[in-house]
Amino acid sequence: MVRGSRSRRWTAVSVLACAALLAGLPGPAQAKGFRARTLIKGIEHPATFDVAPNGDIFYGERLSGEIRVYVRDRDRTRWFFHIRKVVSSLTSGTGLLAVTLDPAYPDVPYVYALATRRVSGSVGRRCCGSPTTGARERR
Amino acid sequence: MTVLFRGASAGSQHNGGKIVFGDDGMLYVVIGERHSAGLAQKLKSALGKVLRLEPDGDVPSDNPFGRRNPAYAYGIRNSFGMAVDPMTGALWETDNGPECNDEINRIIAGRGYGWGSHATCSTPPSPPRNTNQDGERPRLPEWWVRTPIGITGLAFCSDRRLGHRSEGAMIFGDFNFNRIHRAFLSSNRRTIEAESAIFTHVRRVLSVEAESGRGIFFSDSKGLYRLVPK
Repeated sequence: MVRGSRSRRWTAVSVLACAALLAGLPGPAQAKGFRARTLIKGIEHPATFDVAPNGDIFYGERLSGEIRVYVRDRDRTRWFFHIRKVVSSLTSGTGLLAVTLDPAYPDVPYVYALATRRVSGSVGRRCCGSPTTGARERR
Repeated sequence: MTVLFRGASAGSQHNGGKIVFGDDGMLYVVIGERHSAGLAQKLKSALGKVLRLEPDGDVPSDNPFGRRNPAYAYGIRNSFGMAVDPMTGALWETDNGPECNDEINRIIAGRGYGWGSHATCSTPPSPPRNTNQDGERPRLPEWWVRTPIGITGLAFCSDRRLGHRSEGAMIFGDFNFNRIHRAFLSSNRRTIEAESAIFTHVRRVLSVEAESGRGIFFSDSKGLYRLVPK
């Protein structure tokens, strides 16, 4: 990704991994037999999430590239990670698209993400290492 | 943060996607075809594919199109839902059609799912073949709907939190009508026998996930929710 000209930039769909640092309100409209119990509201476009074994929910905000955690026991959220350079648009279907936890989480404390990002050579070198073989790092 | 895989440039539409771990410990990634239907049939492009990667981003040596090709299945248009059936380990995926034919596919290694440059909503061929006619022996969806619902997240209900009937059922969301659907699989869990909408939300349903013992969760543009019986 560093071969491009100085000014060349593009948006790439990237799979990312980052190591973990840690570890009702009335529902909306109802239909037959089921209802929605609100866990958290007032967040911005949580287009993707995954549920940890302890019930915490890691969710990705599509437009900002922020990954946050809904901490079930405390009924509050906390910041987890910011995927930088995310290019996002509701009309184009871009942004932070997917977040998933390692199946062995939290014993294997990795969180995986899929995002469209604006990539330049310098950014690629600094934060990302080899795009296909870079070892994961514990933050 | 480590970049594990960098696909082709994103586009103005159909960027997908979703990532899940398979029963084999591999990372499965579905990426849309960037509004270029022909790319979904090109095995050298990562677009319009379900990809299979090692958790560190390497390409597994037993991938169906060669040890250097991350592609696992092709002919995908634009997906926002993928999940592993906990009872069989099978990989299922939702795919948005154009002005017709939203669909659910059971993903099999090396198979094509038919989206490509010949796709049309006109007939013949009759649906769903009209949007699934490209490539060699295109595999038709296990479920499809002629009027697009904007199919989104997909999960499997692995417990009885939604009632006995829902245990083992497939649950998926839609963007256009704010609904959550339940689908019943056949006894061998290879096909879908019945589907119905079971809940209408106040906003568009984005993602749907399951956690064993904790039920079904979903999101909209403003929040996270748990689907519970009345």
